[in-house]
Amino acid sequence: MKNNDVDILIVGAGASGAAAAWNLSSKNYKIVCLEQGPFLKKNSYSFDRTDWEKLKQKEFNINPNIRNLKSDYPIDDSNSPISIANFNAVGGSTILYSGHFPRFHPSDFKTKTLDNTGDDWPFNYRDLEPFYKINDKIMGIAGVSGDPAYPDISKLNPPVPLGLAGEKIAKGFNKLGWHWWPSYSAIATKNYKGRKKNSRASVDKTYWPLAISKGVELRPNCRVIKITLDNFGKTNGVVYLDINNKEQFQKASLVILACSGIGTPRLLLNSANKYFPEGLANSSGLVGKNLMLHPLGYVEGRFNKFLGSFIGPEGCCLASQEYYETLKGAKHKRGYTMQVLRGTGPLETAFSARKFKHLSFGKDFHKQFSKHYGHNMSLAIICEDFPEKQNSVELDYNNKDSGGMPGVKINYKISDNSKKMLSHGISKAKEIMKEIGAKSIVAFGPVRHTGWHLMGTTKMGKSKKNSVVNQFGQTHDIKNLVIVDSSVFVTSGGVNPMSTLQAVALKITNEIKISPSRYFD
Amino acid sequence: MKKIKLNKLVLNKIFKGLVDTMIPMSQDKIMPKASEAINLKLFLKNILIEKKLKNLIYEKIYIISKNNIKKKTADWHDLGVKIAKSKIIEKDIEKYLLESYFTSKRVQKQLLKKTDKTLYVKKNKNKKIFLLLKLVKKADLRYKNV
Repeated sequence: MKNNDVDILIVGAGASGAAAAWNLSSKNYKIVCLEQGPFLKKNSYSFDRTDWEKLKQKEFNINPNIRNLKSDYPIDDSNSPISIANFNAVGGSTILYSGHFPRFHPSDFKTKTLDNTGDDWPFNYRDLEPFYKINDKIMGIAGVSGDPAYPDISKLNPPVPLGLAGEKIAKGFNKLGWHWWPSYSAIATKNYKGRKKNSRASVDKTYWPLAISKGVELRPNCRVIKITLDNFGKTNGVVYLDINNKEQFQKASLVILACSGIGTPRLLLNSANKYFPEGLANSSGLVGKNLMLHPLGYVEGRFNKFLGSFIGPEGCCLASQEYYETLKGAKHKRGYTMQVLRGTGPLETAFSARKFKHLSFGKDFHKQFSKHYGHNMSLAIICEDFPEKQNSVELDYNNKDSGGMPGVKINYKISDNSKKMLSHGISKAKEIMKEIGAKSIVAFGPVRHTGWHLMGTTKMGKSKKNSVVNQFGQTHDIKNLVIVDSSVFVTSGGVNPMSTLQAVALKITNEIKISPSRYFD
Repeated sequence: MKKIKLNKLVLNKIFKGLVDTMIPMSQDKIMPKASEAINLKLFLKNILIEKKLKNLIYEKIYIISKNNIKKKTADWHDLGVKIAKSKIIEKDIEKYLLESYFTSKRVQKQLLKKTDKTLYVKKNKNKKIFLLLKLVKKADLRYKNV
């Protein structure tokens, strides 16, 4: 089958691919997006379902090696203390994410200048701010204006209620004089742009309907295996496997990669050719290097009083950024967010209580279960991670996906700075739990199954030697090959990256709209 | 180990006694016993579809109940209770039982009822947020304006 030529081909229909497709759809381009996963049926996975906790054990597990779906590819993370989490479908990881939606801080774009660590981005917070705003509007972000941790963030939907547990911990933060703020959340706290109240904003429900209505063609179940070049060293399209595993070629004038910090380097490395034997656009040798994952600490408190802590969207309650910036006298540089996660649902509560031998079957089952359900509250410590070359993604020829493409191997070590930061964060989280009267506290870190935030593997920068893409998202080596996902991140910040990665995708695609000659000629 | 065969009716009776002993009705009668919340047939199907697990469970049941099985007229429900109390297959089936029980509509409805009874959810939920935030709003800026 011969596919018609298109102007722009986007690989990946997750958070960044969806934002890119929508933004470019306002111009008269012929756009196609290829996504290796399916377009899920409405309500396949949502917190409204009574079996959502069961689904997340298998089909909707965050770990691709456990899900093992046709759309997944094998990820060997045995050489990393943190395993990789993702989801491959239209909507990408937004299908499973909590919807916690903070922005980076202005200082995150200047860590080299301010703290002599990491590197500076080629643009700053103010450059990105207009795109944060557009993204907030489309995703329908809830929250409260006036947060002293950020330049003004306004026009938000009403905040997600804190609940009894959230109020309790907020009072604790106030007592200690620490910063806290209601979560910026991608949760519809009112009926919003066709989305039902209380639903989470996954991009299959936000950006994609808009982009499709403007003529973007979305092809699910199509896995891109190679990016091809013409005789002039420019990309001229991609080779992909369609739903029947049949090889197809899609010609395109511009190729945009939006496959995450793991999928993008995988595709570039698999597209090696005689001009780029070490991987496409890899003259710097940095494709797949500088992987950042956000080491995460977990602190859970158990309380005598019933707090109904499971009420409300998981992960979206409030967060403290008291220790976000570099702390004078601390042993570590930069900092972390303390994110209140709420309590666990009934099934997870039962599993956890069984694991710690707090729940036995028989006549006391309900009595013991009641002592746990709604009595726990947890905090995640999200530590800023820094780019280090040895932390990397490489092709794994021993493990291949359903179409025969190599999987990936992760090499990752937690730096000394992150270890110190993690230990500081855990001790502070314990302090707050004690302050609010936790009867018992469980704390550990790094937590293994938390590698959601995949950043840095095709770093952005001004110099061809030290980075893979320029500030306009173009690879230094091939000007009509653009990357818009979180692999271009220079530093990781100490927050969930979703808001920033979508803003970056909007900023880069805006450049394509205003200066097309930079990319197409 | 001797292989045994159990017909579906017998198996249902055994497992009804078993799961209801593991998860009985709560003392306040709000939470149902397991067999009233889960689809027992589906529950059994999910367990027995895994051959290894099926054989293991059958073997363990045989150990504890060989006399009853030979009699063919035993009180199968009582046998289920006995198996539950012996905890001999508790570890093998607990994941399936907890999953079925806590994802059942009936259990979730009752949990919600219990929560509503315990917690008084105020209508004006956001008023409290703004009161609590007063102190934080007064604080100095926490970001570097760079």
